Amino acid sequence: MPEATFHILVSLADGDKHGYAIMQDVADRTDGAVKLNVGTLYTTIKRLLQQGWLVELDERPDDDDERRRYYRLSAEGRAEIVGETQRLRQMVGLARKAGLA
Amino acid sequence: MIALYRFLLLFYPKAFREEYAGPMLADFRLRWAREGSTNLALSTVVDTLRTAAGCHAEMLAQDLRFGARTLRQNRAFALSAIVTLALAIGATTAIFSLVQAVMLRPLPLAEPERIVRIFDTNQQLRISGFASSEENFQDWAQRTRTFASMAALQDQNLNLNVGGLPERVQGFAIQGDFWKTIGAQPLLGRIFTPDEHVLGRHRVVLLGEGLWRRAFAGDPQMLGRSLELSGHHYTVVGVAPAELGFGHDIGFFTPLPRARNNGRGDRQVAVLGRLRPGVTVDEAATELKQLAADLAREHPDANRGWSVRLQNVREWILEPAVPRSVLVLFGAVGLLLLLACANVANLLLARAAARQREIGVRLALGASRARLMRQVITESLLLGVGGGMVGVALAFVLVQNARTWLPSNLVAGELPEVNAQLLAFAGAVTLMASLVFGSVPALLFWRDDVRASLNTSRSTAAEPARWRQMLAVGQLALAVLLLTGALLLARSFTKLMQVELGFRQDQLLTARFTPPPGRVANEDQLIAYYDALLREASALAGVKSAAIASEIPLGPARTGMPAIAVERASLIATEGTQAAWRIVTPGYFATFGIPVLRGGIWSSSDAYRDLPVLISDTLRRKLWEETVDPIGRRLRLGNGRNYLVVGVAGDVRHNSLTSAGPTPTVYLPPWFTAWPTMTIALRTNVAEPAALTQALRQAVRRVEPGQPVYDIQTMDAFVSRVVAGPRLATGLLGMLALLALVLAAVGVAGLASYAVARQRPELALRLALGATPSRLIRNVVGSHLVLCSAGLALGLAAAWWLRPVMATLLFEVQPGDPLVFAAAGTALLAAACLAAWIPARHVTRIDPAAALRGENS
Repeated sequence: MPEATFHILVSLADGDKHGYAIMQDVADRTDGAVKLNVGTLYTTIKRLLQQGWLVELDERPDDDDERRRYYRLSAEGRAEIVGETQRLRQMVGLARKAGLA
Repeated sequence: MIALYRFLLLFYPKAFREEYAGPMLADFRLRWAREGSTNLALSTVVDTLRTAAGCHAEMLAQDLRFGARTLRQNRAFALSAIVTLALAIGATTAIFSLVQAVMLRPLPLAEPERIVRIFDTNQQLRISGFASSEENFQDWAQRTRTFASMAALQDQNLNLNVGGLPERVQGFAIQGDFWKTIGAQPLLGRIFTPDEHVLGRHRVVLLGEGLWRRAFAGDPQMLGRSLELSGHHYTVVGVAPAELGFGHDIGFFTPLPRARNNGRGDRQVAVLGRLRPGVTVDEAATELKQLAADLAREHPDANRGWSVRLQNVREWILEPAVPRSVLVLFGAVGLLLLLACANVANLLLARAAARQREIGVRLALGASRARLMRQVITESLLLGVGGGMVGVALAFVLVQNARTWLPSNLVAGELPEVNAQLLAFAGAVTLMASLVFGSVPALLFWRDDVRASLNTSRSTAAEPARWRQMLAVGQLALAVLLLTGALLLARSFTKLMQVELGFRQDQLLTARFTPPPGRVANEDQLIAYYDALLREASALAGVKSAAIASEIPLGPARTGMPAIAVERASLIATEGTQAAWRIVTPGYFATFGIPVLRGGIWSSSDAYRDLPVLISDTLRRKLWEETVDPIGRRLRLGNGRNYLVVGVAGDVRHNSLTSAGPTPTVYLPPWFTAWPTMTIALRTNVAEPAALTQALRQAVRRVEPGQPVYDIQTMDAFVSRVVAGPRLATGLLGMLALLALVLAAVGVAGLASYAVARQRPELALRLALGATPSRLIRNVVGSHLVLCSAGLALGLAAAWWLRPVMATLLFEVQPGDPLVFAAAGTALLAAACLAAWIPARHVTRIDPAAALRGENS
């Protein structure tokens, strides 16, 4: 799974967000190590929407900027990110057993 | 920066922009406000470009998948389009490989456009390209100011003895600044020194690279060694590179010693010159013509009436007819490609009309026009690439096997090959073709009124129909054009084959040999040697008669001299007839089937008394009045001696198949001179004369052990090679024309079937009202005849306009030949009628009731 996808899914795992919020959230979580660019963000979002891992929300807070688009992790998307996390954990376990970490 | 980002957003596809540009700009604004820095700016630019490219790539992949699926669903359409394109692209690429081999391969010489060949000309004797004399060459080289250097070459054939096996080697004897003029250098060793051009010190040799590698394994120790060439010892001083652009492998170079004194009038060397920088060919020609005039004044006996002509060296190496015919073929195949594109465009248009509903719905549902156009173009690209790949494979097969279908004398020793340039060309052609035929339906989409197409039950596609008609007219015109050209060439070729050669070419075996110097030291020895050869040859099983001659008819030698009746000998320089001369043994005429019309042939016992000769009928008429009996009269030749006419032989085309008439010829007895290269000819009574090759070799060796014999061929094969070029051009153009006719017919058929489908309701109505099907069929076919006539007229007009182009390729046929034009027109009309009739027959299958109910089918 591409890195940008991973971070976006994780970010949405604990709540709906709009685009900019996702960017911020990812930057905070990784302590500034990963800073998503706008282009990467939205092209990934578009793909995730097509795959059905995200859904776009129609409801939004009343006083909010019209241009903002809110996204929510779908059930499928949740399953995907969980599966990916499992996979990564297994791989880290293997590395640990080999004395690498 | 915000403004810059707004600009960057334009890189994304329109659909994406419409969806996300808003939030993207907003989010970027926020981010920039919070942490704007050069780093961010840079990473944003990079990110935008990267992701935008990704979007476009994804769209392309989608279009390709969609296109592939559509094509799979319409296999017949896709297949016919791909096959059409493959044939056209394959043919175009194959012909381009010919163009490459013949015209584009760079000559491996330094600045070849500055090297010229200088010919001697004589207007009165009607000579336009002759060799020059050494003395003249030396004066030119000394006096010229426009040439940086000059060189003279003379053909030389020597016998090389390598490891006991005698081999005939072809090379050049050179004089002057040969290597500087050519712009090349020896691979090893050195060039000749000036005093090596002096008689007695001239037995040094530069080996040709090919010979050096083949016979001496490329041994650098060859330098300084001594070789035996035709009985003399030559010292090897160097190795010449193989790549000199002369087309054939040059075996060796030796110095041409100065002033062997055959006289200034003896013209036997080819002169080359390299122009000084900044000098044009015209300027050099002017100067050289002046020099020639000066020399004519200083040495009138040898030079009166002689001038010069310059020609670029590349044109000299290749026959001029070759690039011309190749170019015409290239043009023809280009037309075919255009035709193929028109066909495919027609197919696409037909499908476009059928898909109008689908397109209308998609547009109504919000698909952008641009996106649809992209899809259509991608589909066209798929077809194009498919056709292109198959076409390249076809071309590959054709080019690799070029040896089989390409006559060997057509290219300057280089066969066409598949190389990067050719593949690039094929790729470019494919792309261009795809864009050409793809743009037609795409443009149509652009202009179509969508809603109208949704509202009607049948297509109101008047627009595409008119385009298709125009395309069909174009196709027909192209087909007629190609057909006319092919028919003209075919007629010309037939005329060529009907040319009266004057001799019998069947069951004749010929071979070249060089009389060994030791056996022909004087005239008695010469006669004895030939007699021995003829005895041995005639004794072979299957041989009816044998003869020896200095050249076979249509052979390459251009030995000639002016001739005139002895009564007018003083006028020979101005009023002499340029006649070809051939040394022959008495059996020559019977062996070659040339009739002796008057008088007889000399016999060996006439030996060197009175110098008897035979003349050809044409020469007789030029030398004396019709009423005069030439037997017993004398003529004067250009070498200043008189000869006695003992017989008149039938006319033979010695020099060229396409010359205006048979060659005036003087036949000389063997003791005229010892000529270095002779040919022995056998008239056989076996079906396959080539079977006697071994026997002939052995017979020659019985007379002189170790005597090599070469260029062994049947006269049939030789003559066939002479016409190989025209035959190839005719055959290729014929095939192209046939293909064009088929493609055009298919185009018309498509149009007719489309028209029938469109007019179903009307046709059904008329059927219901009592019209007979045959009447309706006639109507449909008739309405297409208008189209065909338009195409016909256009094509014939184009063929008329291109007459000067065709004229250069034709022999005894007028490029505007009305018979040919009529035949081409008729063939096209017939094909078009047939093509319209076949789908028109479907009229009989219309069920009037069902059609009127508006059911589609």
